[in-house]
Amino acid sequence: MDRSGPTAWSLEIADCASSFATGDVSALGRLFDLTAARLLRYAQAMTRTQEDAEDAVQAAIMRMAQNPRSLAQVRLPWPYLLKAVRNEVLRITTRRKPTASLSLLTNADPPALDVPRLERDERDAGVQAALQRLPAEQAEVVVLKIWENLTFQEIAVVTGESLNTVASRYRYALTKLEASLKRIASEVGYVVD
Amino acid sequence: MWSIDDNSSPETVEWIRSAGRLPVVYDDFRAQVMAAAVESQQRGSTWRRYQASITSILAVSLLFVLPAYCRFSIVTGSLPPEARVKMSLPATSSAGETYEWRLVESFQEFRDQSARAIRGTL
Repeated sequence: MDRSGPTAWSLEIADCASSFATGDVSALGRLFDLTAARLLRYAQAMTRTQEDAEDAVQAAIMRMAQNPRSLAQVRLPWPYLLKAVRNEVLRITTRRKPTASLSLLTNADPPALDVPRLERDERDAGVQAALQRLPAEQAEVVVLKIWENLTFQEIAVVTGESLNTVASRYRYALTKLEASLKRIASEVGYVVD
Repeated sequence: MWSIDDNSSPETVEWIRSAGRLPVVYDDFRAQVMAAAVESQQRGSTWRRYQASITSILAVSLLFVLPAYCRFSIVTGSLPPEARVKMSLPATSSAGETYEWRLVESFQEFRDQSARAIRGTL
């Protein structure tokens, strides 16, 4: 895991946010360096394209910049940032197709991997491909739970769904992922116990 | 080499976790976001200053103009209709003082009558 824990992570973000709120513009750069890659990864899990993910992250950071105190005042800054990015993803999706919602991305064709496959080892590529075949709302929960280490309670806050819904999505996603990974493993001739 | 056990959710979770590579954030994207964010911040602070000015103006209006208007309205409302026509502020003030003095007189008269009535019952 490339983070020391949710508390330390949140503390770092809160520190940047409070510095920025007091007028230290360089704190925004630190905040970007701390969070941009993770925010992009989360946005990509939902938008499935790097361009839209970048648009969503940029719009979310612009909103933070417009009202610096908003992030400094919240109790859970990291989930708050994730939620801000999620809102921008939904805005972008709605702008593209007025009746669209996150769930409509479910039926999208499996997109090409965002990073050249050769750059990844096969297992990671398999996981990435399987994740991208999941419905966006399930992939989102997996990203938040496994890669961002959020609790179900925090995920519920970010997604605006109930705890039960979030837990169900996670369970369904894991079942599908496990099946996908098994299939991929057998296709490429790896050992399946 | 990797493998998947049946019913091995914890292991699956671990594989997913280890596959969670972060995307590369390019410098030009960073520069673009920072420029947009700084511009957005300046716009935001201009908007907040504007809001503060509007709030101050409203507060001053409430503190000073509204009571004056209420007094004017009460005084002119209590005058006979012919006296209300185009009344200047000094005239209003003078009329207000007369009106208030009459009120004081009425109250004193009422107090004296009450005192007499109480003395009569004793």
